Amino acid sequence: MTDDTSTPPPLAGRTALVTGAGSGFGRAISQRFALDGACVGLAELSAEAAEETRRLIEADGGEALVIPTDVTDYAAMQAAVQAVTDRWGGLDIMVNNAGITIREAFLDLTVDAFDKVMAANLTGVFHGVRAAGLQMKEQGGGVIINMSSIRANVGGFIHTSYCASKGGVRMLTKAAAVELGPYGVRVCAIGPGVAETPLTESLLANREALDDQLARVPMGRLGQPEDISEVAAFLASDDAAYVTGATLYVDGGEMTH
Amino acid sequence: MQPVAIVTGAAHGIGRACVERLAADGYRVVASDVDGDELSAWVEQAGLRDSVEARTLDVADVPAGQALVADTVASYGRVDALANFAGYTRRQLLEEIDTDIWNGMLDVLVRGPVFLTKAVAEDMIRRGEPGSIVQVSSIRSESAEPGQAHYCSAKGALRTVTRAIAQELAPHQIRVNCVGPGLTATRMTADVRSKSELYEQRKATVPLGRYASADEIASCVAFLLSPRSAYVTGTTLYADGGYLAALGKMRNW
Repeated sequence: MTDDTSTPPPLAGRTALVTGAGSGFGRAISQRFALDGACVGLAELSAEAAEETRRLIEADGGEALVIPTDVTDYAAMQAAVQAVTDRWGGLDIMVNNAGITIREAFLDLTVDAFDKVMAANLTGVFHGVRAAGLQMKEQGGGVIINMSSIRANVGGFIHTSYCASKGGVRMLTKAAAVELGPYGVRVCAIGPGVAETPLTESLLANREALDDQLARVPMGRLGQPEDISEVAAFLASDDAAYVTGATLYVDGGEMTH
Repeated sequence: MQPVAIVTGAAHGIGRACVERLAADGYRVVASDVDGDELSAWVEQAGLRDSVEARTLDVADVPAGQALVADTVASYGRVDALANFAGYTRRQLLEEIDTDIWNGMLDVLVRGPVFLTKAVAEDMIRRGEPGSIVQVSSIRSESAEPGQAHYCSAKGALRTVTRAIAQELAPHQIRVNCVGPGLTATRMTADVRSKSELYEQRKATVPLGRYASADEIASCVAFLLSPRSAYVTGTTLYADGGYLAALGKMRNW
């Protein structure tokens, strides 16, 4: 709580790669990491959105690199890890944040929609864990943070594929933590509740649904990207040196029901 | 305004590490332990007397806990944070656990923290200010082991009561969470760590391959007590080196 300017920021000298860095949680996490002293690779489908994140980071005096990346393509993910390693000499922190949702009632759910969500949200995370894990094993350590959700534990109406993907991320995190722990690589997950991001635009536009949702959250508000980025910065830091395999839920208490 | 924290079980291990961390982070700390003399001696020796007040408290004594909270408010005007570390365990099979042993453990591990939480929350609500409370649960709230029926039950109860209390206190902007330490190098594990073969076996059940230091748990507690975790409530942050991810089994066929 003291503001001791003689202490270097908690992520000084570290390098990070954040997927989905052009909006929502990914942008907030990238900005937080940069403020905490890390150099940040911004992996994003839309180079334009990532450029805006880069501008915001550089305006605060940080360093960032835009890396157009489709997380569903393993070769692209490998290239993104390589780009960060080439530029800054290694990869200390990997954040597998990119994700999508397609809202469809289960009985109307198409195979195509299911495949799309699983490819982005679960296989995309696997790609990031594997590409970063190989690099971090080589280096002798690192931290991987995956974006899960309260939907890993709680079913969500018209969100079948999203729930399946996020439950998968929760267990992928545990399995990877077990195997990568001996190499000094920590693998953690964040489980956000409902937050204000581009993924929840349809909820935010529906007053009745929003009130219903707010009534479910003991803290009485939606999450903000900054609520998630603070947790990501903690998990990435040495303060969380013994935290691995765990999902930290950031949901204003919604899962207490 | 300097934030004020109450820490129980502060003479040793994780509690002691947390007192050091919170003092370094700028808190005024009211530290308590059932062995108040030992705590006082340590506070003196650590040079923390300016920021840490040492008190004797048996957390099983609910009125004494309430008095400690009242004294803290009288002295410093407020309580912003509470961290409950007081605890112990013994290896006792169910057949050895009589009702006195059972009640004794639940009084320290559950009843004490619940009523301290209540007393602290009453002060926060009266002042209309936010606060944060951390209970120390354990991997044993999820993963049982022989000889720990009382300890596992108590830690499981603490985890669940934390969810219930978090719901009720959230409208007042008071957050309540647990930290769930795994195998940690404290007095509670000194016996295992003194037997080298057993110690190696235990370390091999942890993906990170080692016990936590008390500081590595204290840093998680400090995070949950700080405004940085503003949207985190009613949950447990496991700091277990991956123990629960593997449930103690690091080799497959």
